[in-house]
Amino acid sequence: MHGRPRKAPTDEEQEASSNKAVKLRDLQSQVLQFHRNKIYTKEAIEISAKLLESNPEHYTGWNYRKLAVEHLLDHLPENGVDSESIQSILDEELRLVENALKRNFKSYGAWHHRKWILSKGHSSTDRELRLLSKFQKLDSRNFHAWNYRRFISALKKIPDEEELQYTTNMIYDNFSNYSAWHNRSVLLSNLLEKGGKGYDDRGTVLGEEYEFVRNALFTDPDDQSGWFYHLWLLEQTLQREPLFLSSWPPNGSTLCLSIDGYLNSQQSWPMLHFQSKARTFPLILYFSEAVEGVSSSTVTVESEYNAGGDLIWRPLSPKKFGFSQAWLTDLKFSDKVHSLESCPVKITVAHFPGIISSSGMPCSQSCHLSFTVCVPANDQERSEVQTAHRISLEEENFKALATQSEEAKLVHSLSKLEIEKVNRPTTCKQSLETISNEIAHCQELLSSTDCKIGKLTLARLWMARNTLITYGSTDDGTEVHYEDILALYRDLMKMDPVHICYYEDEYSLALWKQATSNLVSLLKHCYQYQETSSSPSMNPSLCVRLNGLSLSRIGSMEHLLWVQMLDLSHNKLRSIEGLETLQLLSCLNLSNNKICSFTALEPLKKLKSLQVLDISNNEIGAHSIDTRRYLCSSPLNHALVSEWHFDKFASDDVTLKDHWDAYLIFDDLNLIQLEIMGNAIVDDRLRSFLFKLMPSLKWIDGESKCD
Amino acid sequence: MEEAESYPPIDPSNFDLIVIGTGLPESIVASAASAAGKTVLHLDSNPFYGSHSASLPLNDFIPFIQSESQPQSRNLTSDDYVSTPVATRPLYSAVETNSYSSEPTENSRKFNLDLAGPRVLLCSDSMIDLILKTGINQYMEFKSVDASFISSADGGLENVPDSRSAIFKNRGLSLTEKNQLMKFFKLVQRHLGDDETEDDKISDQDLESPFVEFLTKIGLSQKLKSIILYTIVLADYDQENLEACKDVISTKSGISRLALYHSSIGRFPNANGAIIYPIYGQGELPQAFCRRAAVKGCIYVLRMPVVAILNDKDSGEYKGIKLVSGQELFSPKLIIAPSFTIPSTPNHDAQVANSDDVSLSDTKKVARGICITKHSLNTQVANCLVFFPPRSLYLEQSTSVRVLQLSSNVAVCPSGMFVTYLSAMCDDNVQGKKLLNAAINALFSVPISGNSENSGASNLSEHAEEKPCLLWSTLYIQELTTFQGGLDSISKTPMPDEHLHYTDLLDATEKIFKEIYPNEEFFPSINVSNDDEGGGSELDS
Amino acid sequence: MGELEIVKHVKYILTVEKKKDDFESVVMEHLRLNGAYWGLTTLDILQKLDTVDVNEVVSWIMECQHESGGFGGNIGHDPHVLYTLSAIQVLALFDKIDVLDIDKVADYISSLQNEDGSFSGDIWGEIDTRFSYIAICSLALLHRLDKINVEKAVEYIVSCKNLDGGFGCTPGGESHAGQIFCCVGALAITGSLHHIDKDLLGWWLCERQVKSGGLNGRPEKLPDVCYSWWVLSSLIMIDRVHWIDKGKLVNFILDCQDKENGGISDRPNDAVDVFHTYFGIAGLSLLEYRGLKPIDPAYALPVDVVNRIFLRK
Repeated sequence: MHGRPRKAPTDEEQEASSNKAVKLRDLQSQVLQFHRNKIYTKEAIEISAKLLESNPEHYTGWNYRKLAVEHLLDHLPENGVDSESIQSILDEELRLVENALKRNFKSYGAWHHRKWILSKGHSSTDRELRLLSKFQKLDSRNFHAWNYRRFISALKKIPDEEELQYTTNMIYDNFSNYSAWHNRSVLLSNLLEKGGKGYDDRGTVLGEEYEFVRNALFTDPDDQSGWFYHLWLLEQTLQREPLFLSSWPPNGSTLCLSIDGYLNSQQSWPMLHFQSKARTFPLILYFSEAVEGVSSSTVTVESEYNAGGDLIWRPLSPKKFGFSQAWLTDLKFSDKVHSLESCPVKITVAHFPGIISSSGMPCSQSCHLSFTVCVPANDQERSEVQTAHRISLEEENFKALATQSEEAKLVHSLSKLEIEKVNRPTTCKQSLETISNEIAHCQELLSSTDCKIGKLTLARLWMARNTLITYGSTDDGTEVHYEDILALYRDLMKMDPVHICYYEDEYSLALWKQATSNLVSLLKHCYQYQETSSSPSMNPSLCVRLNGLSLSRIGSMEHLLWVQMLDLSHNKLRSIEGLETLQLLSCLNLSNNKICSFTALEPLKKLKSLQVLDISNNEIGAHSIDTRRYLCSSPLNHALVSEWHFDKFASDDVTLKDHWDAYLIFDDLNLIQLEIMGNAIVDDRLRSFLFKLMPSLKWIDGESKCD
Repeated sequence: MEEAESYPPIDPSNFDLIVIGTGLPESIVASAASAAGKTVLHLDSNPFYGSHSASLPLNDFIPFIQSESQPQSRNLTSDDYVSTPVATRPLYSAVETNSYSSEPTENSRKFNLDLAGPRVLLCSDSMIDLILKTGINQYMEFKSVDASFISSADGGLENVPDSRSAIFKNRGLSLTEKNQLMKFFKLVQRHLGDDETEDDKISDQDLESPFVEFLTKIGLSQKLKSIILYTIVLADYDQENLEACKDVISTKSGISRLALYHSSIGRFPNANGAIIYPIYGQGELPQAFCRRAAVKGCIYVLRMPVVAILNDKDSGEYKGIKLVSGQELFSPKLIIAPSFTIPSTPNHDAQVANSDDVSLSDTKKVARGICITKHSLNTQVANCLVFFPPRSLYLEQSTSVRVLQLSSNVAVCPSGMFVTYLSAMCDDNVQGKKLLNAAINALFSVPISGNSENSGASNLSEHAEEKPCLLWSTLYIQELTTFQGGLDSISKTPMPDEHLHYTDLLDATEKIFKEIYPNEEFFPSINVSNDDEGGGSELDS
Repeated sequence: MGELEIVKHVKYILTVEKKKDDFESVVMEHLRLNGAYWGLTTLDILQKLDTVDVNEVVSWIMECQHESGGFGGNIGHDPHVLYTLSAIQVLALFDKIDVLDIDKVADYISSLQNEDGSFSGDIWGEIDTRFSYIAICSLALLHRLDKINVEKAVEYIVSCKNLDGGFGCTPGGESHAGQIFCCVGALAITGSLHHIDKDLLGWWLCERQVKSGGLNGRPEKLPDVCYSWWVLSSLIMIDRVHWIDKGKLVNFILDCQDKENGGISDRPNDAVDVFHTYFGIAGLSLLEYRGLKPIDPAYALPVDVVNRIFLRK
């Protein structure tokens, strides 16, 4: 009942309605009865036509018609099996469908009945196209008609060029016709894929499309249709092959392993120290976008002491799926090795083709990186006991880095990207031109019109430009200042408060890039953590603090793979997607954010070395609707990796039934220390549940297990 | 006596109203009067309907405007009345015809040339409403004028961006201009929209100010201003030069004309633009009204010249008319076409004199022209409008020149040919001719005049792919008379005016009717129900 | 605006269930089983499910089942997945799924999967991603997903993904909020949401909110209460629901209430119907409106019902 005004019906109307009702009910029961008893007489069929003309939604009626048609076709008089009689039977159906559609051209049943008749090889292209243009004139957005149009053009082999022209005409009639723009994007993708005459040069075709849609954007900037098409064009332009961006250990670094022991402070920077368990250490590759196909056959590792044999590469996405921006493997050293001065490790990424982005682009040119591993000879054994020590994330324990300090130098060496940009793809240049051109037009438009989507598009274009430049060959020109981008988003928040959180998220991504993508800004966020109280034997560790920035979202990790201690407290984080890449992370502070559910913490399940977690003062348990419910692997989405033992685990306590999601997350973690207070869900029952769940856990909110 | 035989006697001899001349205003009044139940006699000395609103075959066209140019007078006396002989005064002057090829004249009958061209109808204008109201659309068919163009700086023709989609399609405007123009259209919509708040409205102060100043104020480019002023609002005079401008358009009226134009777009499903034209020419319109009048009992006699007005011997007031047949007919009211003059009678010289003085002293004239070619001004379209805004042809051009090209699909010319009407306001013949010739030279390639047809033909083949080559053309200057009550019982209708549409002429006509029948409704409305449906069906797509 | 007229809506739903004699209800007769699902789920969200006679409903539903195992929209109507899902959902509401011959129903549904992974709605072969969702949702509720080729089913849905991030009825079909719900829902249930560009689709969806606060189903269309469900649930499943203004949407839905006789309409002051009443109230539940049971965005059933089915055994 769409768009019908609400009013109490008058008596006459009521009467008319019930009269109509009686007639219709009578028709319906008759047809159902014919259907049940397989009666296909002329009269019966006519009655079914009456029914469907007055109620085209009556799907059983359409089914009856199909049976009737099949019956009639089977029982044609022996002599009369001529095409005319078949024609007339099918023509009758086409006529009926047309009348039914006149009554309601959103009737699925009627449209499908027509397809069914056509599948019997009836009707002509012209006839169908005429019908279509009639309906599409009446309602140019009707998606049944558009779907049927695609069906016909496929059935009758109408060339895409002709259909593309049709969309052009529809757009000329009214460029708000999103349906036409949509179909255009579909047809163009096909044509570009085939690359026939006039469509072999992608750049030119897209260029013409930009020009075409620009007329719509300028004529009516408030109309969305053109903008969505423009966004699609943008994506086409930005499509490029994935790039290998960074690694851990970093290219050119020296990794100092302390096997089964503790990092000792005598070691001098800027050597990387890593406490290795079981003589292994992680090797992480980070790409410009999610890729698949990272394996021992696409990545070669040369190291004389590698005892691992063929390496197993695992994607670092929260899920088990093939595509991931970061890939992990473990390098293992043979037990024979007790100390070694320097063992070079050489890695070639994409040595052989096979690494492919989710958009199907292959990583074409191979990159090399190398680092050195050494194991100190004087490796004094230590007992395990001392681990028992609660970490306090109090402010006073953090000191900013002096720019010349050893740590600073270390960060320097860590954050530098030394993966040479040899022969970066030239498509980059072309798309950079296009982007710059679009930026210019966008600015022209904004100079005369204060237009929301225009602003947003400019911000997107600027971000895209920066990405192209940072990932492109060196002589591509200068980046846009992130400040300008941030300013645009601040504008948008004021201008379009309804979507403020969208802009906050975009803002956060830009802010994150600004903070982490160059050394100077990164250093501002690097602190030295040392507990004033702690014993001198505890060496200072490096902590990256991106706290209090009102980040609502986490961005690219390419420069943070080395981080072991991360402070994201006092932001607006709802999701922590991306943290799963920080494999070295041992201490994470997420307190005072907007995390609404345990399921939102799923990325942590990948962090095997995480020991200290602070999620105090979030919104876990404060919401009745869990927005991560289906992004997190669980029995609900049949994506659970490990088996589901929750029931027997929690069977002893009924209320724990509600904590299935806590179980889901913490079951896999080896936390020593957890801060969780200040979340609606927390109570003693949950605490004891968590203690039971994580044997390694020593403290929750400062209370230790024993008491 | 034998003369009398060739003219049938008319019976009865007394009517509520006698109308002389079947021009559009006369026909509408006749039709309205008979609709109001009056007995009406409608006479015309010509063998065809329409008088000054007629559409004529090519060979009859020139003789008509020439004959109308010579005063002709008869004299016949009456026994019981003072009979004042009627004369006609010249309304067309400086007729100048060039024939470069015999083809048009050979196909004379295939032409229906409007005397008062260029003229069209806007789908939402008052004339269309009247046509639908009176139901005469059953006698007529219309076709839409596919496109309108404005002369661009480089002398080419650019599409007029008159709608949202036209702006989108337009190739002549810069992106920013597209943005500005659509913004302006939206601003007008918001202003006219009722549900909107005050700040969406245009201030009263702006509404009173000249439209051109408002357009400047909101920062429209020169190009956009002349597009709006001369192709959509249809201004006659250069609005930029306020002292010389004879009618300065206020923002208020500018906006209402814009609204009329926009409401015309898409009023009828099968008219793609705002503008339509009647098949067989504008002459169909007066005929249609006459047919409706006849249905309502109005008596028609063509080929019946009137020779004298009969006045009462003593009072001298109007009593009736004397026909060329000698028959005398009587009516309390008389309506006469604008070409008639009634020389002064002893008693009434004053009134009559000044009544005609008024019309003569009015210096406004319109220059009209007709061109026949074998090629369209734009290969894409058959029927189109072209506008030359002031100063687009030459610097002193102070009025805009309007051009209407029609093809055989509206049955005004043999297929393969095109008829193009031009008009412009002018103060005198010289100025008028200069305006039209400038436009003609901009649009057509004109064979060196005096050329014989064959050289003209060769000429045509050369220039075919560039500008269309002229086969035939005529230029003339038409007087613009305005309606005066004149004598209390005799009213004179106005000449077809300078405008592209009928709105003003219709207003004047209604005034006449109101003056003679103050208490009668101007076409009592019959069921106006399926208005647009009827409108839709009236157009042949 | 103002409050949610819970009592009046309950009354409205109970009366529509009863009345069968005006033209509208006759026109809708063939999809009465959908109507039952809409009405009863709404009652459950309003915590008033106990007002109906379970056995009456269940036995009526079973009368709609066919030999094939599928359900018709009403007694005497042909079987179709559209109504089979409704039947399963209603039974799930009452925790009565076990009255079914589960494998028979599951076999009917799985028999409708095609070579390319797509699903037909019934034997007559209309193909639509709506049916993919219905099949997957039904089989999941029956714990019988293993009866179909899930991988291919997902493949087909992904092949209907558009360049704006949304989904259509068939490959190349225009994105439409209703269709998007079906595809996102099916991907959610099969743990395949990684196939979705959450930011791209999320932005498209959040731009469905118009000035009035309501949501439309496609760009440049009018808002309609039913999209409060289609759009909201999709946004929730991809964790982008914070991108719209919930407060304004709540007000829009409340504006569409018939404050005298109960029921909710597509737009303010339009005629109400069960369909929009359900979508309005389900929408409010997704918006965490106080006093309503939370509803699950993928299975379109109250969360407690879904948890009961999946977090047990």
